Amino acid sequence: MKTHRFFALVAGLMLAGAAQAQQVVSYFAQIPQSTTNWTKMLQLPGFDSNLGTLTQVKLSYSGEVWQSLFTENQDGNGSSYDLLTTATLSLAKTGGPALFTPAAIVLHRTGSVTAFDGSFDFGGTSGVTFSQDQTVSGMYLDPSLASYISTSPIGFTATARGVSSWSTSGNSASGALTSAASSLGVEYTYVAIPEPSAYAALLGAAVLGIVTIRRKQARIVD
Amino acid sequence: MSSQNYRQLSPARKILSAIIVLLAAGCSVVAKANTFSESLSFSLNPADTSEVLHFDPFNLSLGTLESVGFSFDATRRHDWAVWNIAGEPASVDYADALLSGTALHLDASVFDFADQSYGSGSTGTLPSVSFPTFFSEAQAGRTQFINGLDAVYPSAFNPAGTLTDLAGNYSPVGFPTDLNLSYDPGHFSIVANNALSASLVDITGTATLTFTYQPVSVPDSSLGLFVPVLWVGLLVVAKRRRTELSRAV
Repeated sequence: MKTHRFFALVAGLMLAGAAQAQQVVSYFAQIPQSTTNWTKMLQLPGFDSNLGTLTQVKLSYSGEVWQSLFTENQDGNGSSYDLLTTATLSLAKTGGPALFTPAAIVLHRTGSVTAFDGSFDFGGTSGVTFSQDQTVSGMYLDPSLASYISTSPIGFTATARGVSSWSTSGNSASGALTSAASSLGVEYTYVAIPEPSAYAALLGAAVLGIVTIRRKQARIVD
Repeated sequence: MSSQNYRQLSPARKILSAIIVLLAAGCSVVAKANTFSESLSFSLNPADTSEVLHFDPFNLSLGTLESVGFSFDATRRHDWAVWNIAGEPASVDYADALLSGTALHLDASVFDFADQSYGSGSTGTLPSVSFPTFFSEAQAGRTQFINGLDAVYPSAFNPAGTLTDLAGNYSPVGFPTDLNLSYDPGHFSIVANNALSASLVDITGTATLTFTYQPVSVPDSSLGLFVPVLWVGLLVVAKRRRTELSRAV
């Protein structure tokens, strides 16, 4: 009798263990570097409820911004410059509020350059070029789990905007460029529902155990 | 002197009075100030930001210099353009386009042009010029501005600010006749993105130096006519007196 109870307990634990194991499935999508300003869609697969019970949705966002400012003084005298560019990124669930709004990425330079040095190259003594490449990232645990349980892709809207301004000599050429990339990853954490094969294996083990016990009892009786 | 009194004067006195009046009139002509002006044209641009204006010095034989005046008639020309450098056809939206701080410098004096605002606008879809093509497109020189097929000229393209009649604002100390003229194109500012802007300012005009002087006091030519008349008059009077005396005797 004690042996019966032992095997029953083992089987129960195996079943319970199989039912409560945390599983993770993840997906990733990205928007390659392109010139701002843009608003683009990112799509990630929804959570398949056949996998189990969704317990957590973790979104990981990453954005990259490349900015460049340049000026070439073409005047016969030196001049000052004030160059500024600002980039803002954001990500929202399509039709929903923004999930990520990183701080604006700013490139601001002031200074002075000499009279035109004879070379139109945004460099030398009469020209300057400033560039920077910055990455921002963030993580968000979305509590609205139900909205991710779908056989259809989940849509996200990513935006990247650049605004630049410059004040340079009245005899000059100046400009600004901004490009950006975004990527989004999602991790679905869930409690898996045991597969039928797992149930069959457990059932088989239980039957095997019972048969073994019966055989032992029969030997004792004999 | 009334007309009655005048009739009572002897003929000799009448003639003398007339001569005095004529002499006074002649003297008033001599006291009138004269002016002498000289105008020089100038052209300032990014390649030639300054020049020396060589005025002729005042000719002292003309008289005594009383004052020196200077005036400008200057026109500012501003060309600017923007190019799309986004890498694909796009519209360049710009805002707060402004040219400010343009000034003419004459020796230590500064003459400011009014700021020129172009406000905001949009170019409409443009093909993109790419590196390094736009380097050449934005080269200095108005010819390339005009020939730049991808450039956009706002509706306010090529406005001209004008300064005129600045006389009295400048008094050359010590009456120099070589004046240093230069200009500051000021600053061009604009809000845009993924764009290249180019701006050129030049100033052309005329500078006029005016000398006001008091001519050397020389007898008026009319006086030369009155001297013989005076002599003739005196001779006539003397002859009449001699005739009257001889009759009386």
